[in-house]
Amino acid sequence: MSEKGGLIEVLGRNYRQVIWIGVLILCFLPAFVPLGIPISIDKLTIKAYKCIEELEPGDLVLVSPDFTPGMWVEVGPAMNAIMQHLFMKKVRIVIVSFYIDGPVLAEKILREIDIGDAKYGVDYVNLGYLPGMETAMAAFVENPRRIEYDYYGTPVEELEIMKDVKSIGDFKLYIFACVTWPDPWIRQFSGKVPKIITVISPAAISLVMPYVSGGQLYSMLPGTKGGAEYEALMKRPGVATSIMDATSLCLTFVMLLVIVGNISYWRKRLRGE
Amino acid sequence: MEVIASLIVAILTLMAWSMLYRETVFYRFVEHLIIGFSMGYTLYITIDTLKKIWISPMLAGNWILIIPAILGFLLYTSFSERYRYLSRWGIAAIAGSGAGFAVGRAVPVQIIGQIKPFFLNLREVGAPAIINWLVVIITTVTTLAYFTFTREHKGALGWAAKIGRWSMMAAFGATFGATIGCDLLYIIERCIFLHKAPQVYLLPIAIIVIVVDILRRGGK
Repeated sequence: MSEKGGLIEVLGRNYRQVIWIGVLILCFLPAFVPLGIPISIDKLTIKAYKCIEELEPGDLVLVSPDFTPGMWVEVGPAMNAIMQHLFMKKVRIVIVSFYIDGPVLAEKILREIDIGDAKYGVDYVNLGYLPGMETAMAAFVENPRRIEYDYYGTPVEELEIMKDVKSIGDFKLYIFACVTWPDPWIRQFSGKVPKIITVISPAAISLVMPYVSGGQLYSMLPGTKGGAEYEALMKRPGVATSIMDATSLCLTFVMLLVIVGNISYWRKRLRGE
Repeated sequence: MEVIASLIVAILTLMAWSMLYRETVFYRFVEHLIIGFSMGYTLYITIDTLKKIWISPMLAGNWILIIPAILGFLLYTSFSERYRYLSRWGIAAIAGSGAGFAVGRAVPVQIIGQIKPFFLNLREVGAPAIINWLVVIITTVTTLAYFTFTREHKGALGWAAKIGRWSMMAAFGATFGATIGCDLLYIIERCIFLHKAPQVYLLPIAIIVIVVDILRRGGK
């Protein structure tokens, strides 16, 4: 490419900066000027919503926020939406983490949502982190009372909610959020709890879909998009909804770049460059 | 207090983003801060967890927990050339139990559980389900054909392997596309955070700092 040239060549030489500036503008634009681009609601999100809607007050639900703070934006807003729904349904929630960052993320979720008059130890509990990943999951499935202290160091016997937790079968639903290979959770919990819903990174959808169609997973929320759909079903727009406008714009921009890049590549190839 | 916290978070975000302009001392500072915080938090949770699931139950009389503790400590012998072989006992316990629990559940859940949905009553399901069923059958069989290396990929096997390769490319493409979408979320979420007051007032300051630096460096 020659050093001299028009605007296109200058932009071509500094394409990284051009992409970054374009993305930044499109990210900031909906924040200052809300566009309200409509989103379609996936049938799996509706299935997950109906599953929680059918729960009775007092039912026990097990939740695992198994991701890292750095991955918050991928699944966090969806977890907020689903946890908000659980608290609105007045079910009892037991939180256990198989990732070291899980307990602190559970705290963040509980801080950001409206838990109403729910009382710690009665309506919900944070059992903290259980190390060992799949081995720990297997141990928990075998006996959930294996954990002797909650995240704050309170003996589990002193917590009212745990008096009704005698086996894994006492839970009506298991919800886990992860951003990696979801196989360990599915392997250990499938068939042990009546229904499993996962909140998963959109990048891992292709890994999860076989389990949804196979029936090992009841449903799934695909990351922040799933969160936005869930917020729409709950009629409580939140962070996920506000993210979707910019996401739609940026993905359109990326698609355009892919098309332009391919046209440019084929033009060069046909010219024999 | 909330205002100060928001400003600190915004400053750290912009310091991390300074990497987009060029390698800066601000970026380096944030990088070290994140690693430091992560290590500190991990150490705290590890000690706290050890206290809850090992020290306290053991002091309460559950002395059998000394066995996993010994196996755990043996892992540290990997730092010694003389006693390195002892660390294999700890690794064997971790790998053995992990594989045992995984394989035991993989058969009912991942193998039988995934084969079961193949047996459809085609008279009861609609056309979309039949098409989906065919796609799954063809892509599964052809992908397996691609990884069959005992025969040369010629004739029918060659065609099957080719279809299998295209199937995998479609799956990887979908994953890659979704990954790009996820990566954008990180910027978008930060932009939404940065556009709120008081952190929005830091944006013009950041732009001025960059412009001053560009001028100072003679437009390089």
